[in-house]
Amino acid sequence: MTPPQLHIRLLGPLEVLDGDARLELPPSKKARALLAYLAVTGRPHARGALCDLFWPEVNDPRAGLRWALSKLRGVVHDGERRPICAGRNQVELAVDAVDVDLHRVQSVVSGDPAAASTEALSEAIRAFRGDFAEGLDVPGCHQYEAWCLGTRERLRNLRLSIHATLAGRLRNDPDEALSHALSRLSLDPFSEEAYIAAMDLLAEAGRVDQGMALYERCRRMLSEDLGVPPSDELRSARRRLRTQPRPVPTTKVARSTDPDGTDGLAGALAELPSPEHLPAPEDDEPPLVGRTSELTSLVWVIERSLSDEAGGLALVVGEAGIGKTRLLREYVQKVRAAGGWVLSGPVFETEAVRPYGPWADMLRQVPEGAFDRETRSGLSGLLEHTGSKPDPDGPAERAQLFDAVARLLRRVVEARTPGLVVLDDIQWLDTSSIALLHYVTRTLASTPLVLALAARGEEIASGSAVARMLRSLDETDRLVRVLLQRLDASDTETLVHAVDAELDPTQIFATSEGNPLFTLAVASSVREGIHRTPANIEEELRDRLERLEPGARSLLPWAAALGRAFDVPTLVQVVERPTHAIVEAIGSLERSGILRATGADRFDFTHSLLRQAAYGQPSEPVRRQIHRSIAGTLDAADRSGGRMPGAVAHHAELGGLSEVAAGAYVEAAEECLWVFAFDEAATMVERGLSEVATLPDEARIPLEIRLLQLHTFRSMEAGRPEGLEARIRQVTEEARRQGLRQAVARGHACLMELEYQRGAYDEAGRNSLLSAEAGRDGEPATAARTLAETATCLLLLDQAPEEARRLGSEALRLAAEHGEEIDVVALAGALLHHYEGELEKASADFRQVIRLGRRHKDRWWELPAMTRMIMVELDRGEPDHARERARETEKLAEQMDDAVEAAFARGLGAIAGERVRIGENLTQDGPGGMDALTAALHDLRELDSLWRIGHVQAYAAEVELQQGHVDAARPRVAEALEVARTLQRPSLLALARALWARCDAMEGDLESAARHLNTPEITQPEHRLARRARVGIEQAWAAAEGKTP
Amino acid sequence: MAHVILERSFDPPLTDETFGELGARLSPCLDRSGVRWIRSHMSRDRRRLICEFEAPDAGAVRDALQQARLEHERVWSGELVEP
Repeated sequence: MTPPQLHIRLLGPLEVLDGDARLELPPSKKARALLAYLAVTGRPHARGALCDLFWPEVNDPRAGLRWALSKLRGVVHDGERRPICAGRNQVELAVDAVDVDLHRVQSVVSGDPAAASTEALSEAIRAFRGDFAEGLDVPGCHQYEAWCLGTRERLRNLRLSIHATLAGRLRNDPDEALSHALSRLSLDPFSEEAYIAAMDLLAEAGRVDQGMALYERCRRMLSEDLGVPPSDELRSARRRLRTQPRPVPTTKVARSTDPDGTDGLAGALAELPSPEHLPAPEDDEPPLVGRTSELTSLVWVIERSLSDEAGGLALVVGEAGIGKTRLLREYVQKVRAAGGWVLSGPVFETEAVRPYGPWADMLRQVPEGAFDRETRSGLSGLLEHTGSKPDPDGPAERAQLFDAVARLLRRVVEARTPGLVVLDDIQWLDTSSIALLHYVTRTLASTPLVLALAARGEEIASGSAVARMLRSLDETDRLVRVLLQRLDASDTETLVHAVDAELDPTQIFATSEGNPLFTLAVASSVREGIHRTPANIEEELRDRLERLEPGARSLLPWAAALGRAFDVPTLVQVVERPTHAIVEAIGSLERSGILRATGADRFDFTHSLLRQAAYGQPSEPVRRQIHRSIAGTLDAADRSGGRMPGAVAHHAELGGLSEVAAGAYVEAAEECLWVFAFDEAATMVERGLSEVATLPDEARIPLEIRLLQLHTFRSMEAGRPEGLEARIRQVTEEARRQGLRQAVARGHACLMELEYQRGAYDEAGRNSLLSAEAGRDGEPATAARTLAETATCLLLLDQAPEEARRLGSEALRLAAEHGEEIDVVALAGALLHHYEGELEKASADFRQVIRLGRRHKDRWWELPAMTRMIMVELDRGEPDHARERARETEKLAEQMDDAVEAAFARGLGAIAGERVRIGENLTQDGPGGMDALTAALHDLRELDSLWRIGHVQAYAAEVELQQGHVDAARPRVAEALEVARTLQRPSLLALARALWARCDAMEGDLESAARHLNTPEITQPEHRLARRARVGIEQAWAAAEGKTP
Repeated sequence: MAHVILERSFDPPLTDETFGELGARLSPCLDRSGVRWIRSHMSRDRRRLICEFEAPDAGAVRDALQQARLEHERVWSGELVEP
């Protein structure tokens, strides 16, 4: 069968597609750059010339070229398709056999784009995904760099002139023409000509405001960046804009989108309910009073946005209780009544440390049809709260996350308008959410999306991130500020009479001074026959809570301390009262207007001032107890599902549970890093550190190192505290004195990371293994080796696998980039793959270690690699291969006089043999196999090699259990367990525990099995366990739940 | 904890500098493996070295040596007998 056609895409980041499937390219930049070069030139090149181009200062450039070609062949060759022709002297990519986007574009737009047809140009421009070979610069390869830059510049100019030609030709399709003019402008932001072209198109479309904004931008660019005044041409374009008639804005909120109603996304958006925290006003609620002009302003923002097809931005400002949320609720209903959609996420005061919390809550409401694969992957860190970490291959930086949010919103608003995004109480918004909000307003300025924000003006600190953002939004002409004033006497009267027509509004107005919430509260009191004059709204609300019946009142501090909307089951767990009592109390609070239902089983305070009043009710020690109880409940919930480490940390800190708080801060900071919220991460680390200060050493040291480690990540470099390295050294030394081995390992890894970052390879080497060989500062091969050796060491000892992964990946990257093949780098890769259960890759890597050792006549790692390969074959369920490998290994170990590895291989070989026998049903109890195993174990005990004994016994126990021999398995598991404890190996310990539980389950003691599976070694291991242990745990759970015999 | 002995010979004889370098290379591996170096005995001709460690097992010392790429003749665990 002929393989599908190969597509090489160079107009953007390099991509190679096999039919529709994207192929994984070699990580080495040089190899990729070589492919790009061969694809563009499409002719034969002398090997020497390619060596000069890509390996100018390497001892054996031909080896580098050979290696790169071998990697490329592995990707692009498939059966009969073999486009890389590498002869003895020449190398060529047969471009007639592949589809190269660059050649396609050049064939339709040869020379002057003006000579090409519009269709051809439209097709050509679609091929551009970015600059030529984006990111494929290879520093140090000067000849190649010069060629790459030249090609890039040439293609950029071609792209610009295609956009310009299309913008000129598509005058009958103004939107399309404008889109080309704006694309041209974004590619060439210093071109006055590009500005003029876009302004003229906007003038023709009657979009004067946008045209003027563009003029302003250009004028500022000319004056600030180039120091020149606007040219005559630019001024003329401005005049042309001014003479255009202004279009009359639509007077009603319009409904656009698909006329036939078949568009699934548009339909789903029409079905979108009101946000839970901005519900439609109920019939028995007082009406909105005295806000007609404010509501009109908000509606106008929508109208303008629709008529201009540009973004709208409204900010509602006013004091607490003035009716901002009430106004927004009315606004939401207007938009929905016009067929539009509204998205919003609640902002809570206590959640200022949950990065992007309101955005995440909001985006989870977006209909599924709006997400494509790329958006879903870009937002995985933000939207997934499944208890596992988000996709590690997800967005590599914050910009990508932001871009994914903007793309999603654009898609939604393109499917249906009007579209409104609401963020209430932005004075409590976390800094990351603010940055994202800012990004969205700027990026979607030309999309008819309206953002409505509301804030308590007095609570926005000057200089805060919110204040800075608002100042910058003020500079655009799109922001409409709606300032809510207090009601006058007449409006207050209307409001009071809505509560009770019999009430006298004069005294109430005198007390509330026109604050609507205060007015309503006082009116309710007066109606109940209570006549007093509270000094302020807070006092009135406190009094109101005091008057509640005791059962309901005593529940309030708990509900308030939760800090956000809550569900009944959580409250039942936290308060430890019977469900019926809680439900009764909630009902009473709902009737009193203190709480309101926000969804099935969910409730929230009707106003945040009420939450604050309720929180202030109990004394400080009682509040402490409440937080303590909430922390305990949330922490327990964490283990089984939705993680909320930020909330656990918050409550544990307020409850005085320092150890729980610090642990939760580590997790919360890690979550922040996943979503690139570096400032919040740093804040959490600092909070965690202040929590650990009072803990006893044994608890403090591991937590302190974990917290400090977060500062060592490259992404945290900007906010790194002074003296970090010295502090890590000191805590590592303390850990050593206390015998806390995992903490010592982590400490060394941190120091190594810091030293590696500042390029001190010799120091890094001392913190890893090889100070002597790492002496040649700065050599990539040395750095790769040093990193790989540390990764190897950590993995062999089952310590800090996350650090090992980072170090190992960096080593692999460095080695690949410089065309180096190093045995210990391959070993680190093999151990990582084995740890993660990627057994095929592990096996290939181990074979590579052996090959490299033999090639370089340095067989230091050959035997350990061979014994590990036996384990990999056993894990793969290939006992035949394992037995064969064991025989070879044993022979070699004896030749090399290594009694330990020989005994280990013999033991593993015996187990493999036993598994072969079971598989072939040869005999039930193969005496020979188990005798050999006993002998091997005897030798390992003589040699005192506990780690190997532990693993052999764990494998042997599995074989025994496979045959139902629980009695025979028990002592083996017991020994594995003891070994794991002595050596402090978390994965072996968890595996042995799980095997013990399996024994229990097979004997029918399911309770004991479940107890073992719920021990901390399994539920809260020191780090992510090896795949083998995780599989063992799954098997044990299956047995404990009666799913397997 | 076991008492573990390492034996090794050197040709050419061991210099102070090489000895220091070996120590620096081995030390982090020992730390990570939970091994404590107690003392070493060097022959006068500097050709033989015996080191004493406190370790979970002899395997831990051997594996640390493997990771530090240091050769050895024998590593064994035993009991401490004192007069």
